[in-house]
Amino acid sequence: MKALITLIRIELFKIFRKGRTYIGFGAIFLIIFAIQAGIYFEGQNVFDFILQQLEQNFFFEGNLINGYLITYIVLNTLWIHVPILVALVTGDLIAGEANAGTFRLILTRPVSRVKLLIAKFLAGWTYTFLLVLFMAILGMGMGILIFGKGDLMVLKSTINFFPADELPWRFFAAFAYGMLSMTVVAALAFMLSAFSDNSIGPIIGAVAIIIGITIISTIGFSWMKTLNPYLFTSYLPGWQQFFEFDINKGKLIKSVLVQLSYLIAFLGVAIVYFRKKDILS
Amino acid sequence: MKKVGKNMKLLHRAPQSFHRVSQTMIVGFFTLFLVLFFFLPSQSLAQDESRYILESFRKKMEQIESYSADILIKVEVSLIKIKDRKAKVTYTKPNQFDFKAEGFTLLPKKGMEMEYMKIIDEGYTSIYVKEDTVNSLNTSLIKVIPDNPEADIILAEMWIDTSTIILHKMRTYSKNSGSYTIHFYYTDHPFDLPDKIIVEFDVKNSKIPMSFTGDFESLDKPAKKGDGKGRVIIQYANYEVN
Repeated sequence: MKALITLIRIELFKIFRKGRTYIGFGAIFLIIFAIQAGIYFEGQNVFDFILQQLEQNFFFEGNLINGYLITYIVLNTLWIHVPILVALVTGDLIAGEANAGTFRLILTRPVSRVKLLIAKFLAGWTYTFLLVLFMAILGMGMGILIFGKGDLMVLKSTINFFPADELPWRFFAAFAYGMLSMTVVAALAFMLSAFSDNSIGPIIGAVAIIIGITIISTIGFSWMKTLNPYLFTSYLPGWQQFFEFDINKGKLIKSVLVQLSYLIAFLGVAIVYFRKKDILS
Repeated sequence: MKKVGKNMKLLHRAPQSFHRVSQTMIVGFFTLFLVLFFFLPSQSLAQDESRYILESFRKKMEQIESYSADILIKVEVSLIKIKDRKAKVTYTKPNQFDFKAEGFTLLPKKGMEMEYMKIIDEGYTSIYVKEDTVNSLNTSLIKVIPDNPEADIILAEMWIDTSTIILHKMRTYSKNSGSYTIHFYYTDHPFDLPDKIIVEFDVKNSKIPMSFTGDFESLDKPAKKGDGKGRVIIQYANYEVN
């Protein structure tokens, strides 16, 4: 265990020495800043447009432009933006070593390949966790600081209004779910990284798989409808379930189980493949 | 000779046609008489009676200088999901309403701001329609047409219990927000302020654009269908009336 912790610390040191690691944090900062600026200048117009359907029958009392709205919009970046940033680091974890030609040196140490892979993945997971945490703190913290607290309006097939006192637990659960989704993305990029000797391939490959499957299964062909429940990409936006009035526990459990299955499968494949991989670089 | 003969014939016919004209005039005058003596007075009486009821109602409501109350708002619209909200309403004569709510609240456009007082104050033409039963109570149905052509409400129907001068139901037809039916429920307040009102209105079953929801799952789902009616139930408590 001590050896594993040491390995994780070394891997974390390696991750945070690379400039690309900070691209993720910088990008999230910019995304959140852009969302906040957009809401600050144009938020009211957008809301007026959305609420005009209700305007015929209702007066509105209260403020819907607040820190929770910012956080909700930030959570939507979990679809495309954050997976790219996660893959940027986790896709490089194994292939980066191969690319740099350091694998032979690393594997001469008395550490098993499985332990090394676990340490690498846990270090990558720590990066993912910090990225999502940064997103949550910056999105919610700055949002509440600038716009204050208030109720949240969520547009689904109905217009849902959630009272402010319910929102902390809903956001906590949504971010926890988002963390699980990003862990699956990290595992996918990690698995592809094990197959490759160049980190560009796994990074682009992971992103292409996510975007490609999402587009095909969403817009797509009727035969994809039967496959959709078995694709992990169908569950990436599953955090939105916490912004339903009546949370469907069965659907939520299924979402978590499918993602856990993919997580185990991706890591399993990576470990099985890497254990027998001929290290040539 | 022929010409003279024709003229003679005309002279013979003249008294007959005069007789017909006078007959028609008599019938016309008689009809006018009937209208003047039976129909118009009944209209006038209907207007007088309805005006009397409405003015009695106005006098009673004008005794209220101001009031405040805690309200609980329940919105029942198929397109909207919102939990019951608490708010405080403050009224100051003649027509000032202030709402303070915990969080975001949807308030119905008609029904909460004593619109009947505004209609009566701005001048109106009223017609007593008939006796009607509302919530097992005998009421008088009065149609009220506001005199102000700029007013949003173009017609109101009010069901008033004439024995107590209490408004039990009102339906308004407005230029901008369709028709509203408001049911008033009372227990025992000194100024007959309602404990509960139910506001009913028409709602469109429209679908929210996916570009706003980001909800891809809703792409092939039809818009949520309701009964085409929206309801807001408002319960009043802790009245403080001055």
